[in-house]
Amino acid sequence: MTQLTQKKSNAGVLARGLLLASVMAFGAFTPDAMANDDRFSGYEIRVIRPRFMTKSNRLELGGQGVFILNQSFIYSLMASGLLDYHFSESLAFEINGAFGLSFDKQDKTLLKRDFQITTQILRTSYMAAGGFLWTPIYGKTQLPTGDVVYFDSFLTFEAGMTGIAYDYAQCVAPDVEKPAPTTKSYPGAIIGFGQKYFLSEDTAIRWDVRDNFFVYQVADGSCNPGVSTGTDFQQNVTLQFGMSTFF
Amino acid sequence: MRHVFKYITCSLLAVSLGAGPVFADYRAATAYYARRDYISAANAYFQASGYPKAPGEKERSEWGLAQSLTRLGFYYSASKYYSVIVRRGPTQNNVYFVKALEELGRINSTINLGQSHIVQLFKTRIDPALVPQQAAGFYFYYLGIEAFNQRKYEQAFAYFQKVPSGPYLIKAQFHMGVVSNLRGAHSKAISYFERVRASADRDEDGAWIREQANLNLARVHYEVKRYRDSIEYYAQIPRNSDNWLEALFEAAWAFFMMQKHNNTLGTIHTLHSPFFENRFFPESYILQAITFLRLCRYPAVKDSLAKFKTRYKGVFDDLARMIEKNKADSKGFFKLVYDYRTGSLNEYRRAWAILDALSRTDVYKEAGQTIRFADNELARLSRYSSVWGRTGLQDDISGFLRNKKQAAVKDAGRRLFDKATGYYAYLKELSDQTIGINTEMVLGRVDTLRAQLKVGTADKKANFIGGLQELNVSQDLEYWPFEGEYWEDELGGYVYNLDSKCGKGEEGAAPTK
Repeated sequence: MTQLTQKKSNAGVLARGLLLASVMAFGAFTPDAMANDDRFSGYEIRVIRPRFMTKSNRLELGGQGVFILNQSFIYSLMASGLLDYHFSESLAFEINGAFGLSFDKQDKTLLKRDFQITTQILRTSYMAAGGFLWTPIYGKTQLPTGDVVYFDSFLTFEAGMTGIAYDYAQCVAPDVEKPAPTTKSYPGAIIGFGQKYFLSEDTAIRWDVRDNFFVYQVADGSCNPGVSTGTDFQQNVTLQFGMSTFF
Repeated sequence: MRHVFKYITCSLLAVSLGAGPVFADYRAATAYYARRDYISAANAYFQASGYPKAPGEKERSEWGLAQSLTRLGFYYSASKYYSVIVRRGPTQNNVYFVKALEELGRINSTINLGQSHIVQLFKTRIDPALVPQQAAGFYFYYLGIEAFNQRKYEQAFAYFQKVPSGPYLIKAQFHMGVVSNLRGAHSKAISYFERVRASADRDEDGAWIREQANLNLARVHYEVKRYRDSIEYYAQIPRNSDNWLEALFEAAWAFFMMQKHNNTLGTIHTLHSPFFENRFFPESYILQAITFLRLCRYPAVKDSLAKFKTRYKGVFDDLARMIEKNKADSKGFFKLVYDYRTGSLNEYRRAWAILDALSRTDVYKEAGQTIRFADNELARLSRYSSVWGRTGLQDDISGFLRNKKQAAVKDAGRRLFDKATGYYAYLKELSDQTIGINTEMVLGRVDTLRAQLKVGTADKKANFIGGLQELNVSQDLEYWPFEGEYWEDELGGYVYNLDSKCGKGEEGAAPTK
């Protein structure tokens, strides 16, 4: 046992359990998480039993829908696949990739139609990353039906590439030659947290919130990509929700 | 004009009666049966059996009636007429004896006819050589059961041995296991129970007998002091079973005998959870007290004994009232248990644990099944009242079904009452034990008391995690601290974390007050 066990009694609804668990995931991010079984020695009565969900030396294959949260003018919806290998109950290596589309929000359309403002936007077309998952918390919560659901709370540390699609829609001036649409890739890093709720010993519902940050060449999206204008920092905050199965 | 009217009326009456089964004879009945008109066939056979026109027609009609009712799904009702045939015995004229016995065996293997029905059936002594192979299972199994109930174990074993392959074999083997154990042949008993486990079907009946075999295997192993094996079998009783808590309680004793005191206390902790406040395990407090005594934790001993008193004083009083009020009314006593089970009982609240225990017995369940099946046939009977009502068949069947229900209720009520009085005596004995433990402690004879417990030697090799599970070093474990809150999924998985205080200046030093 290398994990904190966390019980949530009578959470009432699953959403409350999720919220509490998320808070705890951050709150429990301490060296205590590596404490061994001695932490139970102070309790007169304990439950000791075979673990319901074991992940050690198992492969996790999952699929998620990905929504980028911090975009003012577009919606980016992506589909992602992930493959994890769990070395132990608390440590896993993960590779994942997401591809998707973006759609203009009404604000963008209005700006262009009513104010002739064309926005320069970073449209994420793919994300691919690999890295480690650290699972410091294994817990359980009770549903209103009385059923007990086990969950993991984990943190993600990954590195990868993010593909940005440039369509140069803002290059409408008559004296400017509009560059051909292209996709440029940028290296970056990802940190995140998430949870898996185990429906069985082989299946889980999984959600993640991730911050994918990378540095890009500002000129890549300008109407004159050949002229360097320096770099800028970009963050994509994603909410991901899907299912995982374990082999 | 008046004559004409009379003539027409008489003609219509004659035609209507002639067309119906009121004047039907055996030939008409067989014709209905051949046309698969079992409703009319049953009616006609019933009439023909009452007014036979030829030798042997009565017996043939009874057989036809029973067969028609079987085809219509009136199994209990059919059993009445099959039983009439069987009770005549295997005479030369009773040509349907064998077939009727087979049919009763078949009905009983799907819906329980009830012990009293079968006892009545086999009051007629039959030459075993005349019992056909197809009916031998049913016949010899129930003779075995009757002998077993009369504690004639050798005779019972001999009957069970004669049960051939078929639906009764597994039950016979189970009872052979019980008899072997009673004779002290533990290995033989284990072998019979193992056979039952292996050959039980994967259906509901199979699960029931497998569970009973597991419980008995655990008990035999306990008896021969193989406590570790005993716990292994107790662990196979599923959580959703009525026997789960019983298995936990008995396993707690096995842990105690192995000197696994933290496991004993952990297992008892489940029994004392609020989830089971209406379950009856008074002895668990005594076991808890003597376990604390083994650990020289004297205040905890006193606490356990006090809890026993708090919890069971009221039970004892209400149980005494309940017994006193119902001692001449077995029907009323059955109704009491029934009302508890259906949630409509408002009295004897402190003795609900007893009523709960009674409502989980096979006696109550079997009676409930008989009532349910009888009610089901009574309800269906009303559909045929226009046909069967005219000939008296409906009255004949409904009378039988009502009597069957009443007999089941009365018999079960009497047996449940006997059990309740047994619980009363048991509580009284346990109460005396608590006084004994307290007295010995106060008098400072703790060592004597501890020596009387005769526990086995500690099995150092056996290590158990929570519940009844042995530690498996390759297994990942999860730990949940108990912080005063009971979680349903944790029940059965508790283990204490207490060390012994003996030899730390407290052993033998009896706490006085």
